[in-house]
Formats: sequence, structure tokens, C-alpha cells
Amino acid sequence: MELKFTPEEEAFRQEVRDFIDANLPDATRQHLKLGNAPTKEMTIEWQRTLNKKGWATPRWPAEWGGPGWTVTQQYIFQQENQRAPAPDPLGFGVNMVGPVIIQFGNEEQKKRFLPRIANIDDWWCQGFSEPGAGSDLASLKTRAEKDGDHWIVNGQKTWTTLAQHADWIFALVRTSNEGKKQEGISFLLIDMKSPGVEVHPIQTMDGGHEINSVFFTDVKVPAENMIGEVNKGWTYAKFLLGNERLGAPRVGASQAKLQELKEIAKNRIVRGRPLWDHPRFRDKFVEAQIELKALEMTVMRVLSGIESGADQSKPDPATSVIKIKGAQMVQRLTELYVEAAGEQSVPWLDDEGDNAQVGPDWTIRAAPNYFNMRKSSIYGGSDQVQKGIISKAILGL
Amino acid sequence: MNFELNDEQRMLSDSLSRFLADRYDFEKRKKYIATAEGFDRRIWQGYAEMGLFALPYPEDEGGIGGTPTETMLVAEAMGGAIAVEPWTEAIAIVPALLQAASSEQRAAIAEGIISGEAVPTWAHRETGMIERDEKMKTTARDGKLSGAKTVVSFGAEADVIFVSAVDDAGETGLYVVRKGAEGLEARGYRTQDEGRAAELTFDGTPAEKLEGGIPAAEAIAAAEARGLAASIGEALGIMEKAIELTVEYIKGREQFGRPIGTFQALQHIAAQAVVEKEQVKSMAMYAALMCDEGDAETRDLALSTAKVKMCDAARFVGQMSIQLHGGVGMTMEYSIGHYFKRLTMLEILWGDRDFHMDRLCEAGGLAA
Ligand SMILES: Cc1cc2nc3c(=O)[nH]c(=O)nc-3n(C[C@H](O)[C@H](O)[C@H](O)COP(=O)(O)OP(=O)(O)OC[C@H]3O[C@@H](n4cnc5c(N)ncnc54)[C@H](O)[C@@H]3O)c2cc1C
Repeated sequence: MELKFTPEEEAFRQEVRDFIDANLPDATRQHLKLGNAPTKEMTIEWQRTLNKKGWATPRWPAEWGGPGWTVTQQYIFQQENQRAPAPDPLGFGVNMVGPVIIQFGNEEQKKRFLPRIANIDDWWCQGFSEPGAGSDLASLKTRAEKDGDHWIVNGQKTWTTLAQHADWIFALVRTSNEGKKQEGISFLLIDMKSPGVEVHPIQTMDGGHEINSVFFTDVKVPAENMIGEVNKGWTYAKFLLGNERLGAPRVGASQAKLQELKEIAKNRIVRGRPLWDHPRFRDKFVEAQIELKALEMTVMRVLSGIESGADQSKPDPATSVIKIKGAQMVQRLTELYVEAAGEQSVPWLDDEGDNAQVGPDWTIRAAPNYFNMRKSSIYGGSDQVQKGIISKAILGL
Repeated sequence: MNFELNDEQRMLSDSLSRFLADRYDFEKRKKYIATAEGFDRRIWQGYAEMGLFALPYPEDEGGIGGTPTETMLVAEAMGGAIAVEPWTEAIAIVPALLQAASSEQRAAIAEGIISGEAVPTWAHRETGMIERDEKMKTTARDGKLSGAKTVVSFGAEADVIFVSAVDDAGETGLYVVRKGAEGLEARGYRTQDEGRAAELTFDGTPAEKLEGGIPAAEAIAAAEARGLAASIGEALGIMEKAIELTVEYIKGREQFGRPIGTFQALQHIAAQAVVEKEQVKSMAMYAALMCDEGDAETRDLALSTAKVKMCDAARFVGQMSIQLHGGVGMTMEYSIGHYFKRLTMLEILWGDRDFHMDRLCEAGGLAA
């Protein structure tokens, strides 16, 4: 056990920091600093910059363009990237479908898709959930029927994040109604430009458009777009969800947010003195730091387990711990921002634009981000679903 | 001790609930908030016809002589419909502010408000004073106001604006400004909870001073107390509705081959929400009963107590409502998110949790 980073690791951190400082567009940094989600263009631009450097896919094996980093280096990179703050590499590609293709795809698929994922030549989205299949994902109904060397897909996916930008969707589809429902699911890659694919926006309560419904009507998908074996998709999906959970905490981003909140609190006068000097606020702030430190240690502990060779093809139930705490952490931070903004979080910035700005820039996103982040304990397996996994997989109940 | 409502109070509550069920369902609400003014004046007129605006005034001044208990009942019903208009100002705030006026002046100003012709609002908070207690900068000189007020509910739409200001002697006073007055500028916008608000600036704006009643500072404190009490009643109404909507949803939504409401994990969360809500109900009544307490400090500490309880419950009930709805809870389309958003704003308005905890702690806690 060793907590300190080695001099080499510290040097690596400095290298990452220098690279980000020299290359991250200032407009992107400012945009993210104010609590906005990155635009499509910002994500693409930054991921391509990273890809040129060979850093867009930290967790991929060197054979497929990964930088060959240790888990610690991956962690340092992610932390620095989020702390900048810079856009994360697009998770749907780099952390979700990419690793599935690497682990379960064939050579043809690897060659065809991986380089384009790394360079974000294709924007990917995740087509798992359906109106009737959320927590009970295995009950999904979108059908794929074999027709010569094609699959014909019919059905509906929903809550599909950023499908409006997507070139490709990785979808779970039903290919058999026999046996257990988990045993009739396949993992299919579908070109969003195929005839019969339709994307309808869903507005979230904060006013944003990040989720969609995706409809499939007789969509023809070449047979070679199926990952692995027919009816084995559930295994691949579980592998993917484990990776998704591991990415939930965004420790570096939370560290940056706390740092910023401290600055905000020092400069904000509340009832005659800086907010920072109010013990009630200071308590909450330090408690958040403590939570974050514990989360960071847990994340590092799990990652170190992975590095020392834990079986990577099966999800680790500890990822459920990380998912629950990670969601709570981002949610808590948004609460603190609202509390710091007070009544200045009341205005809603929409079509009336600047009219609605009454406080410093950071107050604009305080309430919408709080509303929006309620999602993080719902998606990627809800809090209740994670507790179910812990009950079964860890406690044996 | 008596926490029971009398027949008249029950009738008031029922008839307002019926009115809202009929004319203020979620779909109709969408239409009202999409209009230029952000609310429908016919609804406002409907409130007036039901006597809501006459409620707080004494009978000899054309009112009905209602108490803060009636205000609480109105607020609870309004919360259930997440009604967006500045009814809190009309029912709770303005009548308290008008105590600073002589009875003639009060009658003259109240007339248009009681009849529903004039929509009132309360312009008090200033940037820098956003957390209260800080020095007011809006000034009154020779009957003219200069300064700025922030996040004024329907400040660009209201017809009668009650404004706090200090005069040359440093005395806090209350003033009435009419919409469109010279030197009045309103920068309006929508709010997170789909009402409207505005930044108001006054530049030598002619104003009528409220005179002949209790000192303005006392009237302001009483008004803030009434507004706070009403907001707790409103939060109660929202929580009741949010729980109802959530329970209805989890009864109907099936996953794993059965309604998710059959999962004990969810039942216990919903049950906890009921526990929290019941506590708020008690505190809403407590707040209403303490609103007219003669000793201002006793009154304010009681209200702070109720508010802290409300904040905790509001957060729990709001968040659990979204959580139990799953993805649909996150959408603009479903009503539950709108209840959650209003509840969140009510945590902040009329002094947030920290403000009220400070007030209680500085006083050495509750007296008993
Ligand atoms: C903003 C957002 C983005 C998303 N992005 C994507 C995406 O890109 N791709 C994608 O495929 N999906 C996405 N999702 C979908 C997400 O994964 C689902 O919302 C999630 O799986 C929950 O499903 P549901 O919404 O149907 O809720 P439900 O499953 O109906 O759950 C409702 C409530 O019941 C609880 N519950 C369910 N089952 C149990 C049980 N057995 N025991 C106890 N409690 C239970 C849940 O915890 C929840 O509180 C997104 C969701 C959101 C909100």
C-alpha cells in the first residue's frame, strides 16, 4: 500500500497539466467553468487534440491506440483533464462501446470502428433503455429479425443521451423470445443515417435538450454489425455497465468545483461578511470535501484492484458503491451552488437571454444544474438498483 | 388547543380547490405561463370573485376578516396547483404592509386590489441585500424614489408596486408606485419555477408614501412573516400533491413484472415522505397561528422554526418524487418536475435554511 505518487507519476501529472494548459481553448475552459455542458464542437475539438497526442483513449490497450498508461496514470490524466476543466472524451465511444468492441468484437470491427471512436469521427450514443425497460433492462422489446445477411430492427429506445448528435448507436435488441429474457438479447451497432431511424427530442425539466427517443422502423442493419454472438448481448451489456459506473464519480471535476466554490464563497458577502466566514456554510463545504476524499480513495482502491489483475470481463460489485457515492457527490455539489446563489438562482435564462442575469455568471447554471443532476441517481442503474446489486452480489441476500 | 378547521374555513379550502381543479390543471397552466404576462388575468379575476383578496381585510373596510389560518388554506390549495401568480403578495404581504397606512389611505389603495383590477407586488430585496439584513439603498426624497430592487415577483406586470425605501433621515418607509410611472424601469424575465420576476430601477419615480398607521419597519417585518407563513402553506400543498402524483405513478409503473410500488424499498421512501410532510403540516399551522403574535421576536423565531423544518422536508420530498419517477421525472413534460422546482425555490425564498438557523442559534435556540 502506498498513497504517495512516485516522482515519475508527479512528472507525468505535470506533463499532462502543461499539455492541457498549452492546448485547451480558453473559450472551452471558461464555458465549462461556468457549469455548462460542453457543446458538440468543444467535445470533438478537444478529443481530436488529445487523439493527436495519443491520449484520447487512456484505458485502451496500446495495440488499439491506447497510451499504455498504468491505472494510476489513467487516473491522474482523468483528474487533470476534469480539473482544467476540459471536456471528457466522449464516454459512449471511448468508455462504453470501445471497450466492448476491444473485448468482444472481431478484428474487422476493431479495425473499422476503433480508430474512428478515438478520433470521434463517429459520435456514438447508447440505445439500451426503452419506455417499458428501464431498471428492468432485460425486458427490452426492440426486435431484430434475421433477413438474409441483414437484421431488420423495429422498436423504440428512449432517454438516449445526445442521440441528436449521433452517427451511430449501440443498441440492445431482442433476437429471441425463448428461455430467460436475458438470453435473447444481442448487441447491435446501428448507423443512425439508416432509413427508418428517427430521433425525437425530450426536454428535461431544466429546459435542456440532451435526451431523445429513437424510433426504428424496418431498419436494415448488416449482419456484420453484430458484436460477438447472437443472444449473448446481455453479457456484453453488463461489462459495459460496469465501466459506465466506474466513470460516474468524476472526482477531478468535483475537486475543481469545490475549489471554485471556495473562491465564490470568499467573494460573496452574505449578511455583512463573506459566505466563507459563515460557519454553517464552512461546515457543509468541509463535509463535502471529506465525502469527496473518501470517494477518491475508494475509486483508487478499486482501480488498483483492476491493475493488479482482477478479472476484467465481469463487473466488480464495488462499482455499485462507486456509482451510488459518485452520484451523491455531484448532486451535493449542485445543492451547495444553489445555496450559495440564494435568490440569484431564481431567474431562468431562456429566450430572454441577458435580461435574466441578476448575479455573477456562475449563478445562472446553479438551479438548472441542480435539477439536471437528479438524473445521476437514476441513470446507469438507479440508486435502488445498485443497492439491489450490493444486496445480492456482496451480501448474498 | 385546537387544530381543527371550522366550517367556513373548510368551505373556503374546498371551493378554491374546486376552482383550481377546474381552471388550473397542468395543461391549462402551460397556456397561462406561455402568455406575455405569464399569467391569465381572468384567473386573477376569478380569485377576486371568490373573495380571496378581500380575505385579510377587516369587515368594516370591505374585507372578510380572515386570519393567517385562512391564508394558509389558500396557500396550500395554490401549492397543489403550482399557481404562479403573485397571490402571496396580494393575500399575505400587501395587507400587512397596508397597516402602515391610515384607514382611509388603506381603503383607497386596497379597493382595486380586492376587486382584482390591480395586481400588486412587493419590491423589497436589493442586490447586496439579497440575503436580507443588509442596508437598503433605495432612497425616498420629496416623494420620489431612486434605487433598484431585485427579483421582484411579476415586477414588470404588476399594476401596484409596494416599495421599501429610506428617506434622508435614514427612516425606512413604504411607498406605492404605479405601473408605468415616470422613471420606473422593469427588466422582466421568467423564473425557474415558471413565474415571472423583474429587476426594477427607480429614477426620481413619483410614489405615494404609506402614512398614518404603524411604523413602516414593523409593517415590513409583519409582511415578511406573513409571506413566510404562506410559503410554508404553499410548500405543504406542493408536497401533498407531489406525494400523490408519485404514489399514483409507482402504482401504475411496472418493472420486473410487477408495479414498482410493490417494492418495499420504494414503499419506505414514500412512507418517509409522508412522515416529513405531516411534520410540515403541523409546522404550517404553527406558523399561521404564530403569525399574529404581538411580540415580534417570538413570532420570528417561531417562523424560523417552521421554515427550517420545511426546508428539510421540501428537499427530501422533492428529490424522492423525481427519483421514484425514474427517467420520466426528469422531463419537462411530466408535472412532477414542476412541483420539485417550485419546492426548491420555496427553500430559498423568504430566507433560506441557513438564514433561519442563524436567527434561531443567535437567539439561543427556541424558548421552549
Ligand atoms: C438524463 C438521462 C439520461 C439517460 N441516458 C441514457 C442513455 O443515453 N441511454 C440509455 O440507454 N438510457 C439512458 N437513460 C435511462 C436510464 O438508464 C433509466 O432511466 C434508468 O435505467 C431507470 O429506468 P426508468 O427511467 O425506466 O425508471 P424505472 O425503472 O421505472 O424506475 C423508477 C423507480 O423505481 C425504482 N426501481 C425500479 N426497480 C426497482 C426494484 N427492483 N427495487 C427497488 N426500486 C426499483 C427505481 O430506482 C426508480 O426509483 C438516461 C436517463 C436519464 C434520466
